[in-house]
Amino acid sequence: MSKIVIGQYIPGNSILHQLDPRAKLLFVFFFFFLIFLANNTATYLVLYLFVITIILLSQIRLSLFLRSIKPVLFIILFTVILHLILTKGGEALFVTPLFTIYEEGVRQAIFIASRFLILVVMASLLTFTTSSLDLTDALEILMGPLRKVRVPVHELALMMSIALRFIPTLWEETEKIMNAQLARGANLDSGNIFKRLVAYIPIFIPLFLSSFRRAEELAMAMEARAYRGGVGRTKYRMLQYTYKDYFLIVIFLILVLVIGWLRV
Amino acid sequence: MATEISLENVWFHYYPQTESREKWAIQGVDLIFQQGEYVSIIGSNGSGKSSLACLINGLFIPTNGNLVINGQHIEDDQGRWELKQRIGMVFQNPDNQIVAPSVLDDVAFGLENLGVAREEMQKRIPHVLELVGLSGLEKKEPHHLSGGQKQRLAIAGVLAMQPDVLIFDESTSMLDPDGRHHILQLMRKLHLSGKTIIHITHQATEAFLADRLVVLNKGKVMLDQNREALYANSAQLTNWGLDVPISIELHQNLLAKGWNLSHRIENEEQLVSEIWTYM
Ligand SMILES: Nc1ncnc2c1ncn2[C@@H]1O[C@H](COP(=O)(O)OP(=O)(O)OP(=O)(O)O)[C@@H](O)[C@H]1O
Ligand SMILES: [Mg+2]
Repeated sequence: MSKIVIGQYIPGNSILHQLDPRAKLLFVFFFFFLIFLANNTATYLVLYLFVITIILLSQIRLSLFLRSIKPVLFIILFTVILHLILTKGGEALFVTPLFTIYEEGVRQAIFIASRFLILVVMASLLTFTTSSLDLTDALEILMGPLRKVRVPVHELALMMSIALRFIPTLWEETEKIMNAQLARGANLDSGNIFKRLVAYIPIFIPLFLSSFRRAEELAMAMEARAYRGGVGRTKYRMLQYTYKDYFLIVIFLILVLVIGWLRV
Repeated sequence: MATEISLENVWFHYYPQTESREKWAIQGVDLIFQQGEYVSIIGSNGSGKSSLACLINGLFIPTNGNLVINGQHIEDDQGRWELKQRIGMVFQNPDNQIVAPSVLDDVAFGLENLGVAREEMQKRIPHVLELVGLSGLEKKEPHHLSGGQKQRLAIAGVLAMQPDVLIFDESTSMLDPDGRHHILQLMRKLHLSGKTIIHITHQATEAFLADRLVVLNKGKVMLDQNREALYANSAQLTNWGLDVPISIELHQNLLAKGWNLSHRIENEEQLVSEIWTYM
């Protein structure tokens, strides 16, 4: 149990951990656009250099990044193959009766794989160095202006925070119910997919019922603690930008300039 | 501050439109709770204890009758909301009343709702965590706490709001003996610090820790007596499906047999030692 780490926050005290979550979130957001500006070897090298530097700064083990790449490996491979086969241009490197791989295809394939890789690594860096609670806070503040167009920002943030609070509890409960059903001879992992789904019904029904009861009791407890929506509420958790966060802007501008200058 | 709670002929029905006479959860209750009292409300399952608790702190609105706080009728939403600060409530299931993903944030939740300034929160939170014995666990995630610790966290969250009154709705019933003992001690401590304690339970042993006992049955107040008076003829509790604590029964029987024991027994240990010295 508890091996599921939501947001996969890896506690630490690196410079990246110390940054304000809003700054990190904004940086990663704009960085994603920057990735699409890269279009030649030099620009990709700059991006790689940058990513490797911050991976080192984060003091997070490399194996963790590899683990986060694994789920998207299939998509990366797929697009790489697609580009290899479909892109024409340059010298023909490899000729078969079915398809020909051109120099340009190889180049594009490497670029597209790099793009994916950098995207995934940056997103992982964000979640590795930022607790879910901090991320929730950052989102709530950054989305604040959307309140004007009636997006229930406070409610969404509270929902996220309650979800963070209850996922481990519900997970424990699921395990308990599963064990109880297993003890009664339930067979959960054999038979075809349909049989298995049916086998899971006795687990989901009690789980649903108890979740509804939980939700009802929680709502009551919240009301008893004077909750009445976001109006007039103060916040205990406070985020504060420091000079390090402003430094991120400088870094970003430098990246934009360098990539803008190197790209073709 | 002091909060005097008065229920005046309060009736409560979960679905007032349907009007079936049988289903009134609370039927004409008159009760007054003075500041600083330690009261137990006992009754069997479905006798209306939880409904009564929710009526006292404005979670439910009386179908008929009035809730009067310090002489003021509580009638509108704002009034009921303000009541939440003065009258705190701790529920039965420790898991289902913790909102935030960390101890610190959970204690802050009620304060945030009240609009308390951040500097003030920073003063109050360590203080209440200390009071309930959770100092040092500030950063913990709630699901890593024991049941008893969760329940103390719930109490801390309520105490931070600085209420005059605390209602415990069977708050010990899901805990192990150790956790239970802790909470009961905490109630005593809070009582001594001047808070009104309303302890809802169907455990007679726990109920007798209070100074005053109210017996509820089918939504009606059957009995409202101080501890001594009820102690002397506790057998009547069986009329309403309640147990008489074995130690009390034994004590009463020994007194009736002419044993020379003191008339007030606080707990089992005292009874045992008295019997020991008598023999
Ligand atoms: N949400 C509800 N909807 C309808 N009726 C309810 C609801 N909750 C309680 N009741 C009914 O109201 C009456 C009083 O219930 P209440 O929960 O107040 O009793 P209680 O003394 O707290 O019982 P317990 O010891 O089980 O906690 C019962 O008859 C119950 O069936
Ligand atoms: Mg109840």
